[in-house]
Amino acid sequence: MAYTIFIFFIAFILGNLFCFGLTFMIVSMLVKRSNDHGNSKGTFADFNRQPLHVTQKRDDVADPNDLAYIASLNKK
Amino acid sequence: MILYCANCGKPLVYNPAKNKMECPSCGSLYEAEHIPEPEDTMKCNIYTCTACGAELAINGVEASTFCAYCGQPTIVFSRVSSETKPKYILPFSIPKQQAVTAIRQRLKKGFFISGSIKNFDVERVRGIYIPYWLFDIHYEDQQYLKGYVGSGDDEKEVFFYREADCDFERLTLDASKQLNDESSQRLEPYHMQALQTFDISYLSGFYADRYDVSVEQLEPLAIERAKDLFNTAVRGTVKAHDVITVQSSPRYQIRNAEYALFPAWFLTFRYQQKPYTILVNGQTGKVIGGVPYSKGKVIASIVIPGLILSFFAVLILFGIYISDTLDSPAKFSFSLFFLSAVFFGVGLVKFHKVKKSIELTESQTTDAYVKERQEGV
Repeated sequence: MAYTIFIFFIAFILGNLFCFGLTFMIVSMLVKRSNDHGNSKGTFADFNRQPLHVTQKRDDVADPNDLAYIASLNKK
Repeated sequence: MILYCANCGKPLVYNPAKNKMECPSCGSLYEAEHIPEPEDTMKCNIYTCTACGAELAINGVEASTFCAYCGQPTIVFSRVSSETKPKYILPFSIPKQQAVTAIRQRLKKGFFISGSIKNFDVERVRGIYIPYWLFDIHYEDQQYLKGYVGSGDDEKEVFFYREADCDFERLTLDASKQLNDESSQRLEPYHMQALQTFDISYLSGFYADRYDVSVEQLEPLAIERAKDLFNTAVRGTVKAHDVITVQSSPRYQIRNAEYALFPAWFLTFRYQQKPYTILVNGQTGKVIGGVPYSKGKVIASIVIPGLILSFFAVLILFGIYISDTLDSPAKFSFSLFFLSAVFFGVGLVKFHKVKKSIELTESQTTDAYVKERQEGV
């Protein structure tokens, strides 16, 4: 009997948590959609006729804070 | 009030001996009532709200019955003032009726919005020209960025180097303390192709907010805004996730700053004794603002379905546990608990965003504005 009550208690807690959590999340999404308007702001393209002019582009470079790397550059 | 010489543009001083206004620079004398208005200024009627301190310039005759910022019927004629003429103006493209329709369509869809807000008074929608400074900025930078490529066990940290430059044209920053920067930036984009040389006739029938933030005060904000936009664009050239800038050496130059007026429709309303303002871009019709929600409707929408679902969920879970079919009941329980926590977390984040947006719509900044003026800042 005690085991059955314990199982019911666990099912009750988890069932309520899950279902109220789910409805809370869904309602919050609906409130955001219905009550919050116009979040976007001006972007880079709105204030520039040309796209960003990239003059140098290097990928997979060394960590600029790496002291050994900086020392090797100084030697050069 | 400062009067200026029509010949040389220098400030005039009163000469009591001659009983005339005299220019100390070129010696021109003027009867006070005959002083011509300089080309870079215009005469406007200034209305002041005794509740929030807002000051609006109105050109021509306009019966003003309430403040467009705080919604109080406490706006009174203050004085005639000589205002700096803007260089440019974006005329209203969206008529009042279209703005009202745009707001109604937005509010109509809102299940959680109170009926009293949905049935707003159309007379409370007012067209206001907002003062802006338009900055031309050259910006360049050398940056080291850090990001992550791959996922899971294959994920690795990668550094990138970028050198780039750009020329911002007419980067907008609002020059009114009355309107918070977040709201004015949400009104963007304004399309600059429609920009016209300022003509006072465009103001007819509309209000014009007076600029009370100088170009010098806005320069640091303009640079900060240019930096944010530039950094976002640079990060867009990197093929990695969670990219951050680890080193940068920016150089920039403000090449030009011009004063302009941009159009917006303001809807002010009061809900539970608090003032709110919804804005509509007067050129594009974009509606912005957080509308307060009915707490009763939100609570009912969570509790009623929550109780029904919980009833069935408890029965199902009890059946699953009691049947002893689970391999690992503890693991199953923990997963459910974790998932519930995620649901609550997502919900809290969303509600926080809505609350922040509603706070922006509340005209609380006007209080600070009045205090600043009272303290003589």
